[in-house]
Amino acid sequence: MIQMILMQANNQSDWLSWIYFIIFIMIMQFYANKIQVQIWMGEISKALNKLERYANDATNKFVEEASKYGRSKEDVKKMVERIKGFFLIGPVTLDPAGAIKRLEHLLDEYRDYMNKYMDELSPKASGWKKSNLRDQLAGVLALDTIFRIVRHYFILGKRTQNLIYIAQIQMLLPEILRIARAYWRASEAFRRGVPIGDSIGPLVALKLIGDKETFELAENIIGAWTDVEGRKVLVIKAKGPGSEVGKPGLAIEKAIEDRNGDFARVIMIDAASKLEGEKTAEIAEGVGAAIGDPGPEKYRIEEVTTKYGIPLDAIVIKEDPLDAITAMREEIAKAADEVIERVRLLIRTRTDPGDYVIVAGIGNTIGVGNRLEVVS
Amino acid sequence: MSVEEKQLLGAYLLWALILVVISLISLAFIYLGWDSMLNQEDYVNGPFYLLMGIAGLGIAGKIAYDMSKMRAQKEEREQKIFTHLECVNCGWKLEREFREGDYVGRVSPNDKCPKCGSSMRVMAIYTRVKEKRA
Repeated sequence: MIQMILMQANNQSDWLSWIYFIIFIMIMQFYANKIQVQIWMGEISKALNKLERYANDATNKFVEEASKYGRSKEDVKKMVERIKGFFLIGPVTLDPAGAIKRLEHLLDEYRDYMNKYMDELSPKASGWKKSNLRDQLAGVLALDTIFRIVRHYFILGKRTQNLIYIAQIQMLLPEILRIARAYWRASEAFRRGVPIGDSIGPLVALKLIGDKETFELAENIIGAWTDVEGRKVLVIKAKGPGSEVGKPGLAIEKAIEDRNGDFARVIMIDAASKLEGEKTAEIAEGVGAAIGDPGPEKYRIEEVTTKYGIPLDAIVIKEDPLDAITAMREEIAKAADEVIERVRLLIRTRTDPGDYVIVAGIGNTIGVGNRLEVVS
Repeated sequence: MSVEEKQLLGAYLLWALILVVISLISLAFIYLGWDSMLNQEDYVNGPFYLLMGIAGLGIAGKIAYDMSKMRAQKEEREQKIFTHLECVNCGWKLEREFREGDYVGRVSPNDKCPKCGSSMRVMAIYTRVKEKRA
C-alpha cells in the first residue's frame, strides 16, 4: 500500500506545488503576526460593537425612565450627554496625613453633585425614585467609560499595529464583556427598583427590625431598637427603599459616642466577593469592619471601636462581585434567615443578657424598606 | 417584536442555513473520500477528501455551538424577577412576578391571602439564575 501511495504521489507531484508550499511558509513566517493582529482586531471590533450596544441600550432605558418625571426626552438626552465622562480625582497621597478626610470630602462633593443633577434632570421624581435614577445613571456612565477605554486601545492598536496593545485588550475581553453585561443588567434592576446582591445586609437588618419604629440616625441611615435574646440591639441600615448606602460609619460612631462606648459588640453584615469554586450565598464569619466603601466609613468604625475597645464582628455572604450589582439571586435572598440565626448565636454566646449591641446591615438598600409595614 | 429581536432572528436563520449547507458539503466529502479509498483505491485524494469532510463537520459543530450561545443570550435578556409574599395573619406563602412599586417590607395593596383573605407582605424579591459550571 505504501508503494502505491508513493507511486501516485510521484505521478501527481510537480515542482509548482513545492514552490507554492515554500511561498506559503515564507508568507506565514513574515506575516503570521500581522494576520494574528487582524484576527484579534476583528474580535475587539465585534466586542466594541457589543459594548456600544450595551451603552446605548442603557442610555435609552435611562432616558425613557427619567423623562417620566418632568422633562422631555430631548432634554434628558442632552443632560445625559453632558454628564458623560464625569470623573472624580482622588486625593493626593504623597502626604498621607488627612487623606481619609480629604477623600470623604471629595466623595461628599461627588454625591452632592449627582443629587443636584438628578433634581435638575427629574424634578418631579420622589426622593427614592431620584436615588434609583441616580444609580441607574451611574451604570450608564460606567458602561460609557468601559466603551471609551476599549475604543481607545482599539484605535491605538489599529494606528500603531502594535501587537502588545491589541493583545492586552483582546485577552481581557471576556472579563470586560462580563463586567459590561453586569452593568447593563444592573441598570434594569435600578430602573425597576429591585433589590441587588449587595442589598443582603439591609435585608437582614430589615428582618431583625421587624415592625419596630425606626428613627434617622445619620445621613440616609435609619436605626431601630429591638430585643434579641434579652440584649438591647440597635439595628442599623441605609434608608430605603431607594438606592442608598448612606453613611453607616457615621451612624455607628454617633451611636457609640452617644452612649459613651457602652456597647458590648458591633456586628456587621455585608456581601463579600466569593472566590471561584465557592458557592453563591455561602456565609462566613470573621473579625473586622465588613464594609466595602472607599475608606472613610470603615475608618470611622475602626477608630471608634478601637477607642472604646468594642469587639467588631463580621458576617459576610459570599457572592460574585457582578451578582452584587444585579438583581438579587434567590439563594442570596434565602440566606438572610440563616444569617439572622448566626447573629442570634453570636449575641447569645458572646454577650450577656442586658448588654447593648449594634447590628449593622451594610450595603445598598434598593428595593428594601425600613421596617415590616403594619396593616392599617 | 423589537428591531433587535428581528435582527437576532435574522442572524439565527442565516447561520442555520449556513450550518445545513456546510454539513451537507462535509458529508458529501466524507462519502467521496470513503468511496475513493475503498472502491477506487485512490490513497492520495481519498484521505484528503475525508479530512476536508471531517474539518467541515468540525466547523459545523462550532457554528452550532455559537448558535446555542446566541439562544442563551436571548434567554438572559428575559430574566424574570419574582416577589415572595407572606400573609400577615396566617403566614401563607405566595410567589408571583415582580410588579413596579414592590419592595421588601411593603404590605401589597393588590394581594390578598388565598387562604384567609388577609393582606400580604413582600418578604423577598429575587431572580433565578442557572449556575454556570467552570
